[in-house]
Amino acid sequence: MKILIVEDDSEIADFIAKGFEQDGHLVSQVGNGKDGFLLALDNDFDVMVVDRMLPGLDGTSLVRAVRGAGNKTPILFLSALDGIDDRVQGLEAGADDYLVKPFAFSELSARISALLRRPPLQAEQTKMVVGDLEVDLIRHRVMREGQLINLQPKEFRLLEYFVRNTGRVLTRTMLLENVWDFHFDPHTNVVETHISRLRNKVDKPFETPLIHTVRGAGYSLHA
Amino acid sequence: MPRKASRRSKSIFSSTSVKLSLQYGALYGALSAIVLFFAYEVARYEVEEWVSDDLQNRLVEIKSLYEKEGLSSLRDTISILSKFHGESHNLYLLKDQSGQVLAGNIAGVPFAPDSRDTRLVTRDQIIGLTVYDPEMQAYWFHAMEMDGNVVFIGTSDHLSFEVIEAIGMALAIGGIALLITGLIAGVLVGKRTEIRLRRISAALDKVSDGAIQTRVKVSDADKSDMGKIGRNINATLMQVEALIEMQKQISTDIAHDLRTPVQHLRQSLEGMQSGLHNRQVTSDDLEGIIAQVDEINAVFSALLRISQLESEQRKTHFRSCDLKALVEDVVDVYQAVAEEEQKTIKNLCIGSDFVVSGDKHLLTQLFANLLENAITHCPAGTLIDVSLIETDSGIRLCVQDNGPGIPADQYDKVLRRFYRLERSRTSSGNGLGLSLVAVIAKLHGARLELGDADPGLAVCVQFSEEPVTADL
Repeated sequence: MKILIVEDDSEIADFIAKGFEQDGHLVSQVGNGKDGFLLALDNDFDVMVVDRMLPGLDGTSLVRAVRGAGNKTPILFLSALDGIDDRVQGLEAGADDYLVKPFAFSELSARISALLRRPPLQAEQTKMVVGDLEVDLIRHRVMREGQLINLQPKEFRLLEYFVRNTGRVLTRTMLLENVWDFHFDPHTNVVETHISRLRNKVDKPFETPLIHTVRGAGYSLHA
Repeated sequence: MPRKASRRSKSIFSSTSVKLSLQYGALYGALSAIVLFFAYEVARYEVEEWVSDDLQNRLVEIKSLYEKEGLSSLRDTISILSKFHGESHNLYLLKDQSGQVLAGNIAGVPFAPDSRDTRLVTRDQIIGLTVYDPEMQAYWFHAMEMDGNVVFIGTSDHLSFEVIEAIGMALAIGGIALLITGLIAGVLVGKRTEIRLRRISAALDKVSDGAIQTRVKVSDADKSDMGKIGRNINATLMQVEALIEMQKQISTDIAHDLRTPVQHLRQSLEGMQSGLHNRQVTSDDLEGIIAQVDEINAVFSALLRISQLESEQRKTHFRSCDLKALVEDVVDVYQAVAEEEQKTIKNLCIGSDFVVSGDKHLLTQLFANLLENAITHCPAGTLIDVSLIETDSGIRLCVQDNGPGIPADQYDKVLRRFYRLERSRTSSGNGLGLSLVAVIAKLHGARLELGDADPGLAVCVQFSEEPVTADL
């Protein structure tokens, strides 16, 4: 994958670049908005990581310019501004995701993966299969090894998010935001509790677990 | 302070109140002078009129005597009257057709006998005035014709002059007295205002020199404008002092609550550094370090969020928000967490319309914080009652537990940043949860109320009936 990093803090930029390169990605790095814009239009990147505050052309203007030029490359905003307003403004400018500094590389990596391989949602795809797990998205029915698994609506939503992102690492924050619409950090183990309950129904009665804990990062559903 | 010294050494005439009362005094004096002048003129006219009437009346009497008793009787009468002139106060003259003087105490007056007016004649103009009184400077004269004979009678203006003079004097003295009293009253009233203004000014001087605890001395009974201003200033100062106190508290708290974890972090790192030779740094060590950094960051984020919300910039994003759906969703999420901790959440809704204008993310955080507080600070077996009630005064959201509760005297304190009850010092949390709840409630125009659930704690958010309007 080709990733463009537009970040003026070289320490952060190098850290991200190194991480992505270790994951086997091809990374281009620039330190200002104008170069970022030119590079983005000249090359076919798979994803862009853009710092919100940049010298010259700032991040928000850069994203607007890129989108204005008809470029649809997924963009993730990095920012030290963590107000919800800041997030809303960033997303309104045309970014696809927003990550606040300081962040864990695993969080950035998970979010980038989610952006990278976001499959074009096919309307007719109403049934998803992961190993021996079948999830009917229309009828909210879950089957495993031919057995019907009874899930509460909230549990189904969690599982649905997992199956729609099969194979990807989903961080705690991603689950909180996308499953429960929680845009804050709870002080109780909300995520762990719900994962544990889902595992009890989906994994425990069966031989091979499908929901895996990714140490230091989050969870992943795969066969 | 030279600035202050010069302010105090200014003369009495520079003070606003004295200046004002002098200005009013001058205006009052000018108006009084005009009024007094007219009063004097009217009095003078009246006195002259009275003198003229008197002369004419006497002439009419004399004429009727003449018509009854003839010229000789007239002549005798004038002769007798001429003798009772009252130290030349009254003058008489009777002339016949040829101008011959028939009787009288003067020889002639310098005006035609046919005149119908009363005239003022100076003493020098009168012929044959023998009796001499230096006070009699001028005479009022009136003449009347009786079959060709003419009777002149005159009276000195001494009396009328004295009367007019007396009236004038009385008016002048009265006027001056009024003016002086007015000025004194004005200055005194002004002085009172001045003293109170000085008091306020002195108090504000002290405040500007840093003594923020200074207050303007004013009694609650003082209903005057000055009293109101004084009380307003005191209220403002109190608010400012509270804000400054809060800022100080925050700085102290930040110093304590952020430096302490930074110190822990440093210690952990130093421990690892010094232990490097003896053993391998493990992944667990590093995870611990990262967790500490995350905790510091969480405190920072919470503080930033609180200060951002305090500046009330978020109302622009207010939308209609169904509290019933929100509460049910969040309870649904936390029910599982509560069950893991052997606690139960019960949810009760009374009413039909639970839509408020607000920020869904923030309201979710508010409610989640209240639930988390109940879950983390209560022992196993606690029942957590959530109620959402549509009351006459607006929607009321309560989270009530039957746990240990909070002493009533701590209600205010637990809303403060970083404040933690002694018993919860060891449990998780950073002491910012309720502070955040309080600012979110305030932003939504809602009141946060803490109460005793006997046993336990009841935290209620009372939304106001009036929808919170978005700032434009």
